[in-house]
Amino acid sequence: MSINKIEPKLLNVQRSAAFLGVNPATIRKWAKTNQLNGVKIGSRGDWRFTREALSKLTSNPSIKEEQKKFTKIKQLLKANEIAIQTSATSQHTHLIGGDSLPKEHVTKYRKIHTKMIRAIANNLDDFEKGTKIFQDLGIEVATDANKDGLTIEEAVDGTIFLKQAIWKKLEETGLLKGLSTQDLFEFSQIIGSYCDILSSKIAFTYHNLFMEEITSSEKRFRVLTEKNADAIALVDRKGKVLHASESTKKVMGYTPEEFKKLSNPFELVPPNERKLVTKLFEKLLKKPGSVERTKYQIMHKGGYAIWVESVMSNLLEDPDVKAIVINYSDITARKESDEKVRKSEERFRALVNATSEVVYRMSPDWKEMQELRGKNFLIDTEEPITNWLEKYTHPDDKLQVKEAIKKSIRTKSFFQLEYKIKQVDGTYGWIFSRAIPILDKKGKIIEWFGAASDITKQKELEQQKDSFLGIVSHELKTPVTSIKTYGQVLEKIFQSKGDVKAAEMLSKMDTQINRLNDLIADLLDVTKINSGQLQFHEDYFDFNELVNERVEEMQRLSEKHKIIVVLTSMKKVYGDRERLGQVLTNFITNAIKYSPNGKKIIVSTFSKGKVTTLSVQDFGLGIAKENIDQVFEQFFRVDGPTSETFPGLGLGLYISSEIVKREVGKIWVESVKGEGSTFSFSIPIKKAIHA
Amino acid sequence: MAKKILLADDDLAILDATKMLLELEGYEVQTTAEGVTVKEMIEQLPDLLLLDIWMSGQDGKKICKKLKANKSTKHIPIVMISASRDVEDSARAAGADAFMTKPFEMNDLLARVKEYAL
Repeated sequence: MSINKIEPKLLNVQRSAAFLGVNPATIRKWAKTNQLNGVKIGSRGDWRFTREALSKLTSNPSIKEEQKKFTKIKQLLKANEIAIQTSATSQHTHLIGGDSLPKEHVTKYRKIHTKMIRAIANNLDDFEKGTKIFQDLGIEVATDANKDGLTIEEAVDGTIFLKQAIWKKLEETGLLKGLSTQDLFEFSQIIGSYCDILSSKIAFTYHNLFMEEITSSEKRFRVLTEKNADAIALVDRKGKVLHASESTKKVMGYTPEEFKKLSNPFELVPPNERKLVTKLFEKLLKKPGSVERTKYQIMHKGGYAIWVESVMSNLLEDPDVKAIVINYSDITARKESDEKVRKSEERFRALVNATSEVVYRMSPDWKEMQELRGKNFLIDTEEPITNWLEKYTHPDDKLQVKEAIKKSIRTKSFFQLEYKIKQVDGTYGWIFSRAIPILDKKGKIIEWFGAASDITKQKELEQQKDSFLGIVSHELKTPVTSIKTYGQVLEKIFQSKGDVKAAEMLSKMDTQINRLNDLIADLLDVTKINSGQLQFHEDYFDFNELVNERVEEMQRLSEKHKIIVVLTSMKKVYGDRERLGQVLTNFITNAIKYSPNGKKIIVSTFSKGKVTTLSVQDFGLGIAKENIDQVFEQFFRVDGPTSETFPGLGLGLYISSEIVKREVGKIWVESVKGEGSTFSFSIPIKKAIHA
Repeated sequence: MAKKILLADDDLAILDATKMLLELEGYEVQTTAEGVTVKEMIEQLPDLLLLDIWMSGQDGKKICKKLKANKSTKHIPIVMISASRDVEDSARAAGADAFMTKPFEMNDLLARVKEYAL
């Protein structure tokens, strides 16, 4: 509150405009045409008018029309839900009965500001409406800016033009005088889209201010003190309280009577801060008309401290006031929430610094890295950098990264990827990066917040493991080959000698050697799958022929089970014959393995539409419901009814599912525990486009 | 007259076992663990070359290419053998007449040899 700004003797253009409820431009027009008597003062020749002169104008026939115009503007403002205070004039907020904190208004403006900017850029209807408001205010509008068929770019250019014109106008009126840098900055931000509304807003504020001014001083104080959410006290130069508002009860717990009984209001300030405040008061006393604004704590009657923003105005020489006016605004809630925000921010920063993870913030479109803490792994980003990903991602991984980001932006969902990235030393390392989108209330992405870990070492070990396993399985195959060959030679020798028993044993040994070889092959396949090197040799082949071949082979190995073949697929299919055969063999091997008491296994094929399906049904143990999703996972093994485990590495179905996936097919299982399982896969008959 | 087969593999046990197997079937078998030069081939002129792809220090595919590029040796059939099925395409691209994976079934090997030994 700053009553000191009121100059009751001579009014400038704006105040006069407010006094009469018309536009400043109208006042000037009247002054120039001598309809209104005024004096020009100062180097710039600013107009000043007496109240008497202004009052005479109330009989002017054109005033009604001008006031109507002004009322219309006010209605427009109301229709737009524009608050009538700005941060620049917030000190008058209380005089006109506003209860909200200025801060809220500022927030509100920002909202309207963006909304209007958007309207101006995208919607010419709104743009024209905006222009109309300018014209109503007597501000010239560049006519070429509201032509039909303007492009968005032209419209934006138009607003820049308007902004300059309006800014100039505002400067001329002197309304910008005495505003702080921050106020001016905020003005410049909002002025482009609705400074028309802004200027009338100011005028309206002054109008209300002067409406109060013309009433008696008692009424003024009543308005001041009763309509206000803030506590107001009038004190003399010794600090003795002359008058206190009703709201002192609300703000500090004391009734006006109790408040008046204090030797001075600074008694309520805690001792450690009291000296500072009294010093400020002494400073204020020295200069009539001056204002001191400060924030400090005072003790509430309830025994706790509250935070106030206090504005002390020296109006001792103002004939209507003759006192120091102290305005107390309770800012405890604001302080607390500020403190909360600060603390949570502090905690968050601590977390960012304490974690070993790389932490980063990305722009909504991932074009700009806002901030990155590299933790000696990546180069820190202090200032926003554009095309960060382009600069640091390994060329081989760029496409993959781009695709993943595109998908995450589209679905506004978690981003997660492992890829190669340039490290601090310029070499490439592996990163596991995750980011979540931060959304605003409307669900628009504001930014991405991410964390990433250095998995270079892990990746290197993984690659070492894969290549080691590759070498191991290859080396194992060499002795297996010679053992197998020796065995076969021996078997042949015994056969020719007629030693059937020995030959049979060697044949059994050969079967076991084959099993060993299959295990080695599985191990090799898994390392190939994990490193993405599983190769396929695809062509058209007779599917049923493959089934017969493999079934025959398996039937030879297990006499206990009868394998029944039901073939209805008649067509040739496209794929890797060997690999699909591997899947089939795997299905049958499992069927035999998991039906120790079963007598039959049914292998069936059928073609429907564009796919051929193969199923292997057994009548064995079956799979429990809770395990059914896991059967195609690496290393999964089923326990038997007495908890015995079945031999195998638990890789067969995993490899099978990878093979079928690569052949653009589907693999699935239906099973009832205790009754048996049916494993199936289907593949496209024709050459499919590989994903 | 018995067909002459040249066996090239860097593993001595495999050479030994396979030699026994083929001799049992009446073939005349020469072995080498060192790789095969065009000169040796011209001197020996076998009816079939069984060639391992992964010879220590030597690439079987290169040997195959060289033999298939020479006028005096290109008529000799070559069956390439490897522990990995993934190299089949490149073996055929190098000019191999047939391809087999290790370990092999005796009957498969004999069928191949019979088919290709001229």
